[in-house]
Amino acid sequence: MRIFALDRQTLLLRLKSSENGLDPQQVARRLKEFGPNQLAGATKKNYLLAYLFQYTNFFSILLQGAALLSCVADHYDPGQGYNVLGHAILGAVIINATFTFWQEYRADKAMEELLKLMPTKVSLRRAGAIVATTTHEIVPGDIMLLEEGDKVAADGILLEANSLYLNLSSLTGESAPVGRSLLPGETQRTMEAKNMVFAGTTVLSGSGVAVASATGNATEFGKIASLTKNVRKAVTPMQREIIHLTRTFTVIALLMGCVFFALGLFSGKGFMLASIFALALIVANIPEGLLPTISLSLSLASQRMARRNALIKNLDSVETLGSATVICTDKTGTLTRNEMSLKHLWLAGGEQVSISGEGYREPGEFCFSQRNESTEGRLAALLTAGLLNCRATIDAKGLHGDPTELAIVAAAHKRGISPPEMKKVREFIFTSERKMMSSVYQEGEKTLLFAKGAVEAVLPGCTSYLADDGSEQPLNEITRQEALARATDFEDQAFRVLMIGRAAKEEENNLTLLGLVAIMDLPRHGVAEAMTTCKTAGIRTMMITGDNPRTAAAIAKQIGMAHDRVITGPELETMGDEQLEKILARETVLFARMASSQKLRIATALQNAGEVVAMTGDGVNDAPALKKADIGIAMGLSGTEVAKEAADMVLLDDNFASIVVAIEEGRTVYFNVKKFVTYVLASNVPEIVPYILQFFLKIPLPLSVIQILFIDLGTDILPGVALGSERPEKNIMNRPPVGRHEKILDWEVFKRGYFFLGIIEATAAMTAFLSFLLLHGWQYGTVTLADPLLHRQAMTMTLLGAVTCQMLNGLTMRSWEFSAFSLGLFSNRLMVAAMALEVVWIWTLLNVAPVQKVFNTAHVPLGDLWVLLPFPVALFLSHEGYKWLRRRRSSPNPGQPVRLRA
Amino acid sequence: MKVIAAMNGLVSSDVAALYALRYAALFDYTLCLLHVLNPVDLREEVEESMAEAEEAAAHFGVKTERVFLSGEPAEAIRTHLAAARTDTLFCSTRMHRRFFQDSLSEKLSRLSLPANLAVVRVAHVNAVFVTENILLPIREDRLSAQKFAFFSALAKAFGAETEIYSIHPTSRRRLAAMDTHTARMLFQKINTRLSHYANTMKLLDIPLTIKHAPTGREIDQILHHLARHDFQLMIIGGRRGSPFSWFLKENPMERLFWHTPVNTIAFYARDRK
Repeated sequence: MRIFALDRQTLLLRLKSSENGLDPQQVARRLKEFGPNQLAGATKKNYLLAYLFQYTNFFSILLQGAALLSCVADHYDPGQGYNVLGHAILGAVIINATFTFWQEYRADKAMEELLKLMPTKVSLRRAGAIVATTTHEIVPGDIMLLEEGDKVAADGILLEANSLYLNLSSLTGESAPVGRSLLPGETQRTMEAKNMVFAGTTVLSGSGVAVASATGNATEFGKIASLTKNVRKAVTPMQREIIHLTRTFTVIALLMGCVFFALGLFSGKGFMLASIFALALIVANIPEGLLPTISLSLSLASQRMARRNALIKNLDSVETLGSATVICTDKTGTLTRNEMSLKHLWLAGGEQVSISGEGYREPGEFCFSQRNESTEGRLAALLTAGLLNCRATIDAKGLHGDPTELAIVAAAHKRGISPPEMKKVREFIFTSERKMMSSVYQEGEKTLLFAKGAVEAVLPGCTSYLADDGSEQPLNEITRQEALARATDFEDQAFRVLMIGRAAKEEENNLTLLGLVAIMDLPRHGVAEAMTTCKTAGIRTMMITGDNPRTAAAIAKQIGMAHDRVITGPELETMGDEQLEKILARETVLFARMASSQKLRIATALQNAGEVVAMTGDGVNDAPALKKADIGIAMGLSGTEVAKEAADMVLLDDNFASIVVAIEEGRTVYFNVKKFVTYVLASNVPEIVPYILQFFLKIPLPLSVIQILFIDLGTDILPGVALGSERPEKNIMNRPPVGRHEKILDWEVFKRGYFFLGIIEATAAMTAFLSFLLLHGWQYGTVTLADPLLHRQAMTMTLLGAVTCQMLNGLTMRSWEFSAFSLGLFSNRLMVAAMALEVVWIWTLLNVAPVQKVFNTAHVPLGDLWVLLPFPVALFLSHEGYKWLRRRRSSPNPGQPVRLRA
Repeated sequence: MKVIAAMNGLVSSDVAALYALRYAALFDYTLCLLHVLNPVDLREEVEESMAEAEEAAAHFGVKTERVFLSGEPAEAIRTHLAAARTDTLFCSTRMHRRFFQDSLSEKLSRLSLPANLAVVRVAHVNAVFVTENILLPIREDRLSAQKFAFFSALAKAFGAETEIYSIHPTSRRRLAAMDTHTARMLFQKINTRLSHYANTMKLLDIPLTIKHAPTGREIDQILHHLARHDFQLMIIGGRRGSPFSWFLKENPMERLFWHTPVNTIAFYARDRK
């Protein structure tokens, strides 16, 4: 016999438990036997492996090779400083990996902290006493005490049930309250047994006592959680971009290195010198600071998003948000407030009453379509009947019970109605088959029954109604038709309609019809605005809800969510994948009456149709879809831990508007990364050009490899981070989403970085170098200088030429298309700090001896530095001019910035 | 012949004893209830469990005997097994990995024993009373005669329906490239190789289904299968460990053993040397 079909004694005997619960020794032993009550599937990340993984990207491998080559060179040709170079490159590799890892580690920790906030206490009966303990300590055989609002921590079989209703949505996706009883019903399936409670579900109302039968992975919740493991996540656009970036730079670096190695050999420089020269070019071509800057920028963005209620779990997902083309969102709690409000009443006498004030605690006014002296009494009768037939309560401690009932209680409170002193003697519980519930009260000798439920369930039992004069009249066809017409009216406006009646005996027939109540889960504030933003941003929004199409369409209309068609769950079942993909490729669909399990199919179809999908979800059944979507978004307040585990982002306030904010940040990150890649590329040119010139011309070495590392890892990093933390540009949400195949490193970036800004910087560096040498008596053709100080001073000038240009490059690069002046030159404090630090760096290079020794620099008299001044200014002004030209070309109305292709 | 159930007074060892009882009942073996005395003994609970097992055995008409040993448990049991003609030793194990270290079942699984060893991991206490579906996951057609014999014996003992779930490990790329014809040919080949087992099950009148799954991640695939179907027992082939196993990466079979949501028996065939 299945466990839920066993009688009470056998059940306790099998589980070796008793009515008084387990004693502490038994609990301790069972904890060892069955393990803690937690999902073992969520394995902890191996941070050592994650750290070591940072050393496996192309840049890192290439630099490790360069370091090795330097050490080999030092072995064959000692005393040339190759070992210092090798160690410096290795240091750069370690800094790079550690920094990138640290950012990811911090993001993981932030998520762990969030999960710690989850309530984890449960009440148990152990050794005859009631104890509060953590959910992890529950073992099979424990007696669980369930109260309203509790989260069930383990699967169990009910020993007592007092009007117990559960919310099983975390398992089934259905949010309607499900009644529990002491009998399992005619079933062989655990999930269908009515006397079972399940881990991960919540008690909506009533109370109960259950004996735990399964814990951890053995629960139904644990089984479903394991389904999420088989869904593979596609590579995020940012991961793809990073792979593309590193591959491109690696290929350029290797190609250039090989070409110059060959040229070196042919020109008779010797193997060793040619190798070292090739190595220097490789190091110059690799933007060492790029990866840590990207991860830091993503980390800063994720922190900004967390402040705006969107917690990012995986840093790479930040940028994916910017590419989102479709948002598939739940309705309840995300688009709506998940707070039912009673907005309209219809009294059987014919009056319609509207109630203002949203939510459960806000005061409200009652507005009558017409009224007479009996209206107030009939309104009170209707609300009192509703109130007496509810288990929900609103008090100072909080809200308890089903949201629909809470709406009735709130409306009664608004009218100042409190329940009369009567004794409740019986309750006919709500079931999905009956679609109604009733409560029986005793008042002295009198028995009163109050009923509420679906119109089609209550109306057939009504034989009379409370007429407009306050008397009970036989229910005639006209009033019956009017009641039906009113109910249809309300339902067309997406209201949930309940009919309320009463009877003077303990039977659900011969009821007196009191009226109708129309209840609605109102849209959240800010959602309508967020919808408009999505429209202008070229993002399609699709609602996926378990509600009926009429309610879904009405809510969509209220919030301005446009849709071309409605598809219901059963329709989707009959639809082929190809047909679904075709529809989703061109139409915006509203999905109604959907089961959570169908979300995965929708996500897959959208992805196959070429969309970048953001998908929201809260239940354990949503987890596969969250994992499959490009961006899985879990609800922080109402979501299950499994959903949060599967998601890339957690909404701390469950609000749709926060998703749009996150998308804005995602797009900002994309463009910010583009800006600092251009910024970093520009500095590569003055690092490469000196080596090429030295190869072809008879000049001394203008820049050492250590100085290249100084630029890449010293002076470029902070301005790069400052660019990464730039605020969203004015028109960021007026552009179309970043395409799936759009690359950060595109022709525009190459053009600006290498061939425009880079050339100016290289000119500055070489002009500074050569002019300094010429002013100090150098003759063309002298490759080795007799005075090493003069050489170091000249190299310092090259370095300063590049660094000073990069300072103003940072300023002008703050906007991809708008003028730097329009942003306010000092509005990015991090950039100001970076500039200040660079000035300090320059001073240190010029004046502090130990630093000079490490970086091959020397003091340069102030009088020689004037030559550096014109180039940064020229760079700044020419780039501003370039942006102005682009704006003019793209805008139909000059001066009005409109969207530009990145 | 005897079937031995190692008991320690814990719930899971009681359940293991019930599996041993059903197995013994099928072959009309004697059920030997064994306990190794130790300083932190739950003697009272052990006696109680043995009495319950004896009561259940009487219901199935199985002869029982009690054996109490002393000394180092694993060695004491091995010595006892060498002396007694034993078919299979059933013992339970704790669920949490941390506690498995140095547990009796782990030590036994490392030893060379003159009897089959069945290590029972209990997820659902009641499942032993309602074993209707038994799963045997295998890799392609790799199924030893001993393991099959144990699997079919338990199926017969419980009158349960059975399923052999054949996993075909493959890479993601190959999986994506696999067409229906290739898959059908592969499955047919495996079915042919397993046909003698299928015929045996038919002769024994045990319903058997053979299912196939090409997958990139075999253990996740099995867990996925378990979550979607209603099995009460799974039998897997245990791998003999070494004293250094703890330091090594968890092997797939171990992962399956620790993460399954159903009662699972890891079967170690007797050492034939």
